[in-house]
Amino acid sequence: MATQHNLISTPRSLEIAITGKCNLRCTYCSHFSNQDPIYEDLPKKDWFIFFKELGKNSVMTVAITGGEPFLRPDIAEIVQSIVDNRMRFSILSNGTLITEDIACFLASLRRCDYVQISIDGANDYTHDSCCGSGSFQKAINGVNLLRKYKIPVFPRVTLHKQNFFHIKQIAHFLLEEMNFDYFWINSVSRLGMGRLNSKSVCLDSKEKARAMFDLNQLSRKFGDRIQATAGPLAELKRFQEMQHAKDSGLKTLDSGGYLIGCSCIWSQLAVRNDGMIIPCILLPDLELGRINQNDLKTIWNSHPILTEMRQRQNINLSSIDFCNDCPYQNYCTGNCPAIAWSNIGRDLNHPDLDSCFRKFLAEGGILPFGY
Amino acid sequence: MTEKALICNPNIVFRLETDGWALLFDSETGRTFVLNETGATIWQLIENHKSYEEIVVEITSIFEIDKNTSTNEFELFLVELIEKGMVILK
Repeated sequence: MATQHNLISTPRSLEIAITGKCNLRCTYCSHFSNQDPIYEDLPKKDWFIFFKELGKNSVMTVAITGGEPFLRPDIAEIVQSIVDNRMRFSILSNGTLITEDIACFLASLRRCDYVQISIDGANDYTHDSCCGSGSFQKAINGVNLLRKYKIPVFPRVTLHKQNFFHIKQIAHFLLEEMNFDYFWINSVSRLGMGRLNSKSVCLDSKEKARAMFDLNQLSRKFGDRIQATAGPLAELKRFQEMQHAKDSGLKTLDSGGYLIGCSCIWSQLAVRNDGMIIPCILLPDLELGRINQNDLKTIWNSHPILTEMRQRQNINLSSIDFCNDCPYQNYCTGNCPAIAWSNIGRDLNHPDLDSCFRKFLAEGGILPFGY
Repeated sequence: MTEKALICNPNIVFRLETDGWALLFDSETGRTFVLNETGATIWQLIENHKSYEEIVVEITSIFEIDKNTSTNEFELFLVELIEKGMVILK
């Protein structure tokens, strides 16, 4: 039976791209589809008006993203406006532009949940291979400044072809040398630049299996200090559960068998840097309306695209050609719709092509023994 | 307590969710507290500057309970809100 969600009155959180510009050009970036930003950044006064609307709608948290958020010279005013409207914030950054002044300012607000810094290697050789020369040291400097002011900071590791075989060194560096409480790990998705450069950056199934093998060992050592909601570690856990469910003859697993992934659509929305409201930052061309012109609550409760996305949970995987005859059908959730949307022609009702367990096995992927 | 004005902490965000339940979000600490329908109703009455006595009368009527029960339930809840710093007596 399909999962039944109750729709809450307004989104609890929003992810907001305050700029489309970035000082780096990471070859796997999911936010850019070409070398130049497509949309123009909104002036701060438009964000100020929008944050008042968010406050009135009791939104609790704003995740500030980009581009690179610290590239905006008025980021302090933007963050201050979020706080003035009784919201907390987090910032997703490459860490290279963080200064003493901005770190001190963020700390003074006492409303920062965390700053996430992308760190893809244990040294400049590995990290800079996709992010550009000098970016590793600048990111570490940014981390140290945030730590100096006691701002919660944690790294985000994105695995790609140039760093996946260094994951043990990366984990050792982050958890033992840098002494982070934990880090998040993912792998490059076929979105944006990651899609354009997929052959040189995206892990194939055998590489993913190798990453799973190492992550399996690291998870035994570090436990939940390595976290994932997507990518090889998350897939390892899910695939193992699916295999176990199949071997045990279970009829279903966690409401599997329907397109219930992803669940973000039930609690959050996103806004592009030009003020266009979108379901998710990974679906930037799925336009729902414009801030300060269209009412957020109306969009949240009744926009046809959101309604369609929420009805995915009623679509049985058995009705989808891609899933035909799949022995894992009743245990699968379909995962994130963004990959299929970007790669097979704007189809929201299709499972994620790249985290398919059957495809992983067919392409030579194997799960670590005894996981 | 009964004669003082009840003031909601301005850092607290009230979110009416679905089916009558609600969340109180403390934007200063990031903590959230779940309220049932009665708690959500009481919070909204406090937000609307109702007095202690007025709130007791309202919840007695809305939930069709006797005055002793509503007074006891309200007082227990109010003490919790005050202890958590969500409501201030003035």
